[in-house]
Amino acid sequence: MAVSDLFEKDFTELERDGILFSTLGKLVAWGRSNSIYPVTFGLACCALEMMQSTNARNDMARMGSEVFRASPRQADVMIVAGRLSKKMAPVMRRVYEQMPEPKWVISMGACASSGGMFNNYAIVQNVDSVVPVDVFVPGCPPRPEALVYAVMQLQKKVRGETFDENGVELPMVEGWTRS
Amino acid sequence: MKIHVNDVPLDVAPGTSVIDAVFAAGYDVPYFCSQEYMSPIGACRMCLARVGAPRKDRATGEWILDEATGDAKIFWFPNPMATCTTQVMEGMVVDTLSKEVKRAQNGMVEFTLVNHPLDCPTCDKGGACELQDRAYEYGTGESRFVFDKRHQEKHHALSEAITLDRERCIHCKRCVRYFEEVPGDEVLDFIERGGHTYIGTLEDGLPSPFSGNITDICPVGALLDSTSRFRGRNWEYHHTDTTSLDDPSGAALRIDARTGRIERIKAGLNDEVNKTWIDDGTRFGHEYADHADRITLPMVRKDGRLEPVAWSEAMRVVRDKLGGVDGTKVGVAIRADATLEEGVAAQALAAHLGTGRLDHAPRPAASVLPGGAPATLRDVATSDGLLVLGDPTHEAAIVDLRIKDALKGVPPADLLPHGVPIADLRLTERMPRKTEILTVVAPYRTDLMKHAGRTVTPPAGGEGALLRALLALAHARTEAQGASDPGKAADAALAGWDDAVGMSAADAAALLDALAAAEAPVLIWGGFVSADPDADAAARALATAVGAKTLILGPMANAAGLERIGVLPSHERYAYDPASSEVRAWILGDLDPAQDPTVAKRFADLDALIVHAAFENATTALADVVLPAVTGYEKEGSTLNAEGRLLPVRAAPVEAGAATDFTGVVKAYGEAAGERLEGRSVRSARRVLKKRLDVDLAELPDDGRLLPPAPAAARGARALPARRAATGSALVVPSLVRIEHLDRNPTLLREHGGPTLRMHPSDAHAHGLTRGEVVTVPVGGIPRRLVVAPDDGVPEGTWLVPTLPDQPVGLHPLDLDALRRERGETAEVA
Amino acid sequence: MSVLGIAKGMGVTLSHLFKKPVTVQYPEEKVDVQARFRGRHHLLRHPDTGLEKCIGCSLCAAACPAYAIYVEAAENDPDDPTSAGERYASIYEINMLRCIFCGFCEEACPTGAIVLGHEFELADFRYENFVYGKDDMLVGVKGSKWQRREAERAGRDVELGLAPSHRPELEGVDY
Repeated sequence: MAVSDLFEKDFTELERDGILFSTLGKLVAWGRSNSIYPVTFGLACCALEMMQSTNARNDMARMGSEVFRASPRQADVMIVAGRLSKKMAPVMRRVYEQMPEPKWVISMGACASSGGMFNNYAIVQNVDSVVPVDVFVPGCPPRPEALVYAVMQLQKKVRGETFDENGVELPMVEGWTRS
Repeated sequence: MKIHVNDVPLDVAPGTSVIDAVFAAGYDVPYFCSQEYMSPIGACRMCLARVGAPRKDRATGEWILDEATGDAKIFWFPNPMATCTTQVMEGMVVDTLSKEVKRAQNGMVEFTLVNHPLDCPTCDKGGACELQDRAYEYGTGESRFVFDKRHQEKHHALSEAITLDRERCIHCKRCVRYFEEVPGDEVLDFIERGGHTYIGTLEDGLPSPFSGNITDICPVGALLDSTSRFRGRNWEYHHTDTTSLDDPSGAALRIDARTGRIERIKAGLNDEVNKTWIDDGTRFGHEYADHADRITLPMVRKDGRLEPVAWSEAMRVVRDKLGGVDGTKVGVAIRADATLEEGVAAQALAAHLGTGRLDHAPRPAASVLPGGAPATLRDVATSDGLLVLGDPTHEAAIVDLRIKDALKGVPPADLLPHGVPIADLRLTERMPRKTEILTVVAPYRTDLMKHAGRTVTPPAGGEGALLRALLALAHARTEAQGASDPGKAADAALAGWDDAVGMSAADAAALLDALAAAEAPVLIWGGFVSADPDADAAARALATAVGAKTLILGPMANAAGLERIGVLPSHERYAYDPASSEVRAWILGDLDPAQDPTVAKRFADLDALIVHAAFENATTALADVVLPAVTGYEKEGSTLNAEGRLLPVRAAPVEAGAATDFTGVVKAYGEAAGERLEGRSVRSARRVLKKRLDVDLAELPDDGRLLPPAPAAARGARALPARRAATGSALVVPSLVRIEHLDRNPTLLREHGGPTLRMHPSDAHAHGLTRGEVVTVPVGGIPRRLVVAPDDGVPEGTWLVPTLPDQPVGLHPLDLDALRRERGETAEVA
Repeated sequence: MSVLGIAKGMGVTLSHLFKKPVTVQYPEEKVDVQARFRGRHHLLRHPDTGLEKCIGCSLCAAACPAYAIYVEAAENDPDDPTSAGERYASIYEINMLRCIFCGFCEEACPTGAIVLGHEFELADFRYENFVYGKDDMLVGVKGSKWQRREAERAGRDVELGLAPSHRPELEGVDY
């Protein structure tokens, strides 16, 4: 594979060519995993814990999430922190679509992951139906350390070190995770 | 009578109990031992209230007046009264709110809880427990009992289907009174006394077909339904109020379901039909609906094997196969417990295919519509002259209970603002029964005969002769009245009587006297009479002659309804006959005629066999297309019970895959054939029925709606083949328990035992049969696997076999020479 | 603006350069978890007999505000009882993504069978992996589903990133 391929082919094509498992692929993945910049998508209470995860005590910048980018154009991951209402869903989708590839989504908290205790007409019962989620974080809200752990899980996924209960490797970037 | 309850003035009928007055006023008092439809006894002492009434001066006969106000002075009774056993008096004042009453209520709750175990987390009654609710509403919230509670046997299997926890019993006596007062089978009683009292039976088990109702009325978790033991908590159940499709009574049910399974069936309330009672076959016979064997996908035969396919493909195969068959040679038959909407769908399908061979089965030879003077169940319960031909206990169980109501001689109570009276003081424990008003005619000893003043045992199939003889006698006596010498003419009328019909001339005269003297006589008959058109005609004529209303018990839940809307062949010769060689294709709904090897051989030659069924059986094994069916618990529709009442059937949320009822079959067929058939959905069927019956079935009230009487359907009647095999006939008898599902209802099978072959002990001896042996014997062509049960209530020479939908009540050839013993197999005989 | 003011502010910032940082270097440094922190649930056993405390009464399911718990009870086999009473929970599932970790189930439990422990590292990748059954929550099971999966593949024990505190209700739970 020529070095030029790295610049011309997009990552999914590279993946299909089996290139993720080459040293160069691993290097790229390592680099990506250590600089995942989130976009500010705090919706409700979980956002406060997300803020706490950036403070001095639990420094998420240690994991490479140096800044929370306000512009999705400059972000890698969208941490959906809080209740997504049905009114907000198209807005979130739009923000997600503005993010450049490769991008990931962390669904933080019970409400984003499943609707939580708000099983009603207003709240989306799993943001996976709007954007493809890579990591779910249970908790109400999850501790800042739990969110840091979730970011670490995402890093493992980006590096290709994760697998499901049948031992099947989870791809670095996945489509809809709901089966 | 004018009374006051707290601050509310009321006008109630004399004889009303104070507790009903309290509830009618909108207040309430707690109670445990009172139960609607049963005698009040004042045992639990929870309903205590402060009661006062004015007094009359003995000398003057005037009300003693209060000097201050000038009104009648209220003399308060010295102790709080049990309001359930206290009758209202003129001017009575009832106080349920004062501190004295509250103290009494607190104290009684405390007393009741003293020996009650702390079982709530593990008790199946939790969440629906009257003791929990009353303790919460009327208790102190604190316990002062620090001692060791009474210990008794826990989770004792009172019967196979009922679990008794003696520690939880609060000795309200509802179960004991229930058995004596409602079904009349005294099988349960208090044993020992004082603090050692417990509930027990004389022998093992509860030999009553209505035992399950005690699990509904027990206020605590002492008596519980074993089929739903630990299946879920009461607040987790989804409740569906529907109507039973197990028999033509139309009993109201409440189905409790959870996560797509039926966990429990309880009785629903319908004051006009079943009150709050259902029989054990209905209550415990639901386990088959959740059986793993259920067909959940349509199947099509490919290379000799049935393969699951989608509905659309199955229907394409059906359409193609039927397309090659002459329409007049297609037969469509649905089972007689299908809903009215399914009947409409079947009619539409038959019309579209161009066939007049539409029928419902089982269908007796005579009509099941009573005609001009139909009796409602209320008429039965208030009758003073009942002539019963057959076995209502097994044909329509609720009718048995309504007959027993009539024996008490207490008419149904008027409804109060809160519904049925809680404490009807006209009912007392162990009331005398007026057995003289009941005459039971059956070819063998039935349970109902225990309660009858007069019993007649005609030979099997002899109801026709008996009825004709009675009719002739009735006519002769009427003529004799107008004769010059009535006494001599009456004797002459009796002279021609033949005792071989089953009763003596004197008894016949006495019976006719009783019926004539009765003001509201009712004639009830079932399958034995309907099987013979002559017997049916004689019965109708006899009813007219004595001025009695009639109640006809059809073979299955909706026979009356399906006949009424005309799910019948266009001509008698097209009546349902699966062995017919004229039919080239069959569409069968919930029927299994291929159990008969002759029919199976015929079916192998058919051009098309399409079967709508819930389980695989002998007929699906030969079918070209099998379509998944829902059970009677999962249908949305309506049914017509024996008294002509339209009742709603509602679907419980059961996981049944792609199964539908017959309207779904017609819908799918219509889509494949490109036609919009009537009855393609419950809604479209109801539009049709609205025009025909002038009733909006979507708006049926829960307790149903009586239809005006309709004439008996003239067409389509056909007699059963009256052939008698050389070695005799079997009398197929009705069964309260549905035999076709028994193998998949483990609790009911353990409780009831397998289907039995009953005969006189001398016949058993003559054929070398022993009790409990399992045998297979062809009855009417169908090999029946039965347990030998000699019974001296069966006349010699009669062999009784329980009915199946494909083997209706009546006489069928019995080939005893072909009886095969299942070597070494024995079974419990219940 | 005076230079002194700016210098003072910068001095505060500079002084922090020489102070010990307050950052808890999770995951290398274990996080101190307070005693009553509400993390992952544990289903406890009786210390003396080893029988499960849970009697399958479903009060936790009834109390749960998020309806996250599903319980099916069954009769105890008298020869081989699972719990100490007449019944036990044959199916006990909690949807961790619905659960709001409020602790109402713990408060409602009449036997003290379900207690919220200290584990918080529960993140996983697929929704269906979040329905925790009895085998995921019984006392003796350490770590979340993912942690156990990862540890099994790597062939080592689950290492939790927390430093728990003692809580007497967590009988038999050993971090």
